[in-house]
Amino acid sequence: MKKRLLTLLCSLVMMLPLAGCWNRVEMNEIGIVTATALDWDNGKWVVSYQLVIPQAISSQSGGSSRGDAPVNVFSTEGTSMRKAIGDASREMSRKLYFAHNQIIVVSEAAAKKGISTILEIYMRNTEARETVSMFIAKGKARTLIEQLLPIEKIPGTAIKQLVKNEANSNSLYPDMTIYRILQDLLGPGQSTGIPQLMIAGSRQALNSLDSLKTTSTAAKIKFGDLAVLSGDKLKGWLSQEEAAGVMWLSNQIKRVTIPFNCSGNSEAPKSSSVIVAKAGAERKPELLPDGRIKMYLHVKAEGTLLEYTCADNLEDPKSLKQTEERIAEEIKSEMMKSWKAISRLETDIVGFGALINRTYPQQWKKLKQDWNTSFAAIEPEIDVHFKLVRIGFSNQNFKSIQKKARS
Amino acid sequence: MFFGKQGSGVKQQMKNTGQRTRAKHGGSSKLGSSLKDNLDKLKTDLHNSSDLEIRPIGSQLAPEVPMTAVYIGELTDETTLNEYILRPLMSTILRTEARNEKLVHIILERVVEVGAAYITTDIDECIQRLLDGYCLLLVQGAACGLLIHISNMEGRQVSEPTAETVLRGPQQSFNENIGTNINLVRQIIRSPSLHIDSLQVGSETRTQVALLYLDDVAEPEIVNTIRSRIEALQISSVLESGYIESLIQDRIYTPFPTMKNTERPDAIAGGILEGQIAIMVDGSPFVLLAPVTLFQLFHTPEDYYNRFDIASFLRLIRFTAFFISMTLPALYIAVTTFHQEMLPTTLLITLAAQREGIPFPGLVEALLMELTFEVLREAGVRMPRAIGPAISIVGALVLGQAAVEAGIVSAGMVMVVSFTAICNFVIPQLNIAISARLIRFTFMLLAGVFGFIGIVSGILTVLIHLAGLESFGMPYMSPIAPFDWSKMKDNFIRAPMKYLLKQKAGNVINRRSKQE
Repeated sequence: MKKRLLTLLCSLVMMLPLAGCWNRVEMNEIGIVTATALDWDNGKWVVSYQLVIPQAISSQSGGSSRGDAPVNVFSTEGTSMRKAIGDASREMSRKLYFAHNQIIVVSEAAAKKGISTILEIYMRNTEARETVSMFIAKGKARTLIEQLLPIEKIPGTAIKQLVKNEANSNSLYPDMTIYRILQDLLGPGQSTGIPQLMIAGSRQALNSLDSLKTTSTAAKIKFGDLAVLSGDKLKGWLSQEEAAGVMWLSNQIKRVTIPFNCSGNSEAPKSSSVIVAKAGAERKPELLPDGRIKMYLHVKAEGTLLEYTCADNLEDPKSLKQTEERIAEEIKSEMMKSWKAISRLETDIVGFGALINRTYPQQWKKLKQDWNTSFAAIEPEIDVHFKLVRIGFSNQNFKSIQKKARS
Repeated sequence: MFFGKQGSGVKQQMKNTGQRTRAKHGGSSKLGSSLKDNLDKLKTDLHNSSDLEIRPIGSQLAPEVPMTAVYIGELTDETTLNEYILRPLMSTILRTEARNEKLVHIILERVVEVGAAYITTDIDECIQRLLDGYCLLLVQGAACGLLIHISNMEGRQVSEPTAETVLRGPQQSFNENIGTNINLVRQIIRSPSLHIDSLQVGSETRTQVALLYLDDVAEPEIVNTIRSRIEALQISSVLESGYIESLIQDRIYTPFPTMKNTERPDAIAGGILEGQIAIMVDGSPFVLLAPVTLFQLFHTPEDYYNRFDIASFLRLIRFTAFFISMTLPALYIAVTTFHQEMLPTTLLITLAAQREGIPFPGLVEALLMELTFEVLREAGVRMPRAIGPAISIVGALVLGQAAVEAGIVSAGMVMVVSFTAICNFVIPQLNIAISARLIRFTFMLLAGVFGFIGIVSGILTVLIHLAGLESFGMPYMSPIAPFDWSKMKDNFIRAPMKYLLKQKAGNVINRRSKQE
């Protein structure tokens, strides 16, 4: 017993130096990267890193009062992305730590060259997370991760929050994480849409702490258009109006505010609005014997009236019905607008290919040979049912009530 | 790793001294009829101890017969001796013709006014009883002595418990006197089936050890096991119940206690009623309770006095606290040095900011703080009470705050160590709390070397070890392994009393019918 114990103890103790603390990394030996930018410049990949300076952020050490910038941005370049990242050790005292990378911004040039190398890295390495959100920048990607955001301390995390907030509360832009992009690009459609990240306002950049000393900032980071990728390359852009219907077409709406007017006249200002709280689309493809493809989209949505400027009284079921129809029309026209745009670009970012694959697996084998052209030729049949579940506290708009009070 | 070598050395030493004392007492063992011879023998056997009092008596009973009262002055009560032995003997008007042994019988039956008295012829017994505080009355010509109980052992009053306090429940605790302790339990369980077995352990100390159990509830095999293990002890001294505990437990090399000790009579009574066996040791206010499961060590008597929902919640808190106090520093080390990706980004940055400029690796920092705390804690127990405030100021301010401000340790680490320490105090049984402290250091080393893999393998090792433990034949992990749903009512949670009492009554009935 004693001998056995001794052997056990000895072997255990001997194990400790053998393992040599294995892959231990102290927290003050790592540089936490919160955002990465990828540019394509002169035939080389330029990778930029937004490194957090913990002392400047933590309230404990009082760094912010010293006026240190919370992040530091630097770039390395190389013929392959991973080589560029490896070269970072030549100019950075700390080991770059990508597990907390929140966003990756890809420049237009790099996106045109193809994002497959990024995806390759994310699929192969354990440290990189697939929950990173990707954005496309129209200019140089590096400038975007150099910007500071008001209120927030870490820009990378803040932009991640921004896109999450947008996807949940307005559903105009999807939060395109790496794994979603992978799903899209490896799926039958082999295409996807990625939001554009841009600096709006004056060209004066937000890259110094001084720019945050005023109550309003001259420039602002926000989402712009929607980049459409096919294969792994950037194919074109959808404007904000065109992008609005994409979420409806791809059945990804969570919450969205829809403006409308009473008359249905497209010229009239859309001064009423409704918030969609629940939406779902039943999408059904049909292959017609003559080779044409029809796509039936039954959208069912319900929502709450937010503001109402029409004169009629909503107590009347007839006018309620009318309003619902107006809103449905509005949704439909948004969807049509987007449809036109994406069929122009001939990229299936709404996942119709996957639907056809599921319903007609046999025919799909043939269709997928030249899917992009066939996709553009799809004839969508859209019908929208909208239900106003709540109209709020008043039945009429303010002006009508005022008029009634006067008479 | 978990096995201390404590105990075996002590045992060895005890065995040696035990043999020596037995050899010494080997000689003749009967009282003779000569008073002088008897007294000489007693004196030699007691090594002419200065507190051995020999008081010659001339009694009216038989004026010409010399009698002598022998007692140890420091152990006896003078008043009892004077009032109920000497006075009746000297001033009796009774006269008798009986002599020798018969005279002793008459003294026992008609003169001495003390309840506990008997006649013996064994000289060894006389010596032992003298040391217990008896008075030995010897009569010329009688080859026997009369032993009269007049002992007056100094001791404390029954006071409030100090180690296990409760907010609600009886506020009395055992003291060092086994008689008082049995009395306290008898006061709670007034049942004829409460059985008390008296044993004597220790060739030098001759300590009285009592087993208390309910005859019809306790498992006879377990009672026999415990009794035979105590009887088989060959030791010279027992100073505390810890001696007995470490000598009769099932396995020596384990950090987990397989017996519970408590100073609360209600806890002992509760255990006895549930079929456990209490082991009382004279001279110790801590009474042992066996067999126990791991989970019973987390129960307190107060669980049964509070409402069931509160009691259940507090129990769950205790189990969680035990787990935390074993693993939290290890988890912290593993997360901060191996698995930074597991933390939310903002938390990671906050922790990283604290660690900027800390000169030590996480493991060293944690060991440093834990050792500091263990030293403080030990100092808190050992130091004289008057120095207490000074130590707490030095401990809290100098070691805690100043260490953080000086940048030797990070604030997060101080929080982790403090919370771990507080969690450790939640555990009601001190001996299992200590085992958590020991295991914590092992886990910290494992975490510092292997990260989470180390912690997981550590936890698995502990679980395997626990599953193999037994407490007097009862699996230590029951009712989890082997699983018994019916006992879960009073394990992690405490079900309402209605269901528990039924179960307890059921136990009694089952055992009774088994016997019939």
